[in-house]
Amino acid sequence: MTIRITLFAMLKEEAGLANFEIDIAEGSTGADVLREVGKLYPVLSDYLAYVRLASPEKYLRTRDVIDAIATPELYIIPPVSGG
Amino acid sequence: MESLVKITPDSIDSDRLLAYLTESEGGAIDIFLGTTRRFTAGRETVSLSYEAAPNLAEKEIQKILSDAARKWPLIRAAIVHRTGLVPVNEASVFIGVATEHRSEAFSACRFLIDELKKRVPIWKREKFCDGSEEWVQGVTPSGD
Repeated sequence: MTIRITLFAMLKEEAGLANFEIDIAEGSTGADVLREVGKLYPVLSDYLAYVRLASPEKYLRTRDVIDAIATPELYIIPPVSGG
Repeated sequence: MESLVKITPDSIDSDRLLAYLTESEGGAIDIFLGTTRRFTAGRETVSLSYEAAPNLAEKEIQKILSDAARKWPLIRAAIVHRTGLVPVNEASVFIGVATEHRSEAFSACRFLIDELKKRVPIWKREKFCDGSEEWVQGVTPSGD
């Protein structure tokens, strides 16, 4: 399954891009996705312990299985600082 | 409860938002405005720059509003967050609630800005007078 990943703020800066696609195995959890992202972009590894995963609709839990059909795009949300 | 939620690159029109809240015919309105501060720990700031996660930021604000509406009887609420460059003395966020009485207006307004800062996927980058820039340290939204 192919899934589109979107990075924000310092993650986008560190990786040098905002979007990319990764292939994940059927049954992969959010944590599996983050591991793959870390392998692909080792520069993000230190940050990934402090992120949340989300779809454009809602936050997801890293222990949940990612359904690439229902959620073809995943956001990686670094610590937030709005306001 | 009626509400108005917006993430926008435009400057915040507080007068229009206040009019929206006033038309609610409640008895109390509380507004919080967050503005770009000039000095932080002795360093001088030129501007802040905000980035928001498309769609998700508005969705999370809607959720925070629903949470607030379960706690307090809100008549109307308005939350607007600006993105892009926000110079010193300009507002980056407007939080306003209209209620029947002042007590719930104060409580809900405080809750809304506190939750926004903890949960809504928005990031600020600070630009200082000496030319340096850095992302402001944030918090990981809870619930994973």
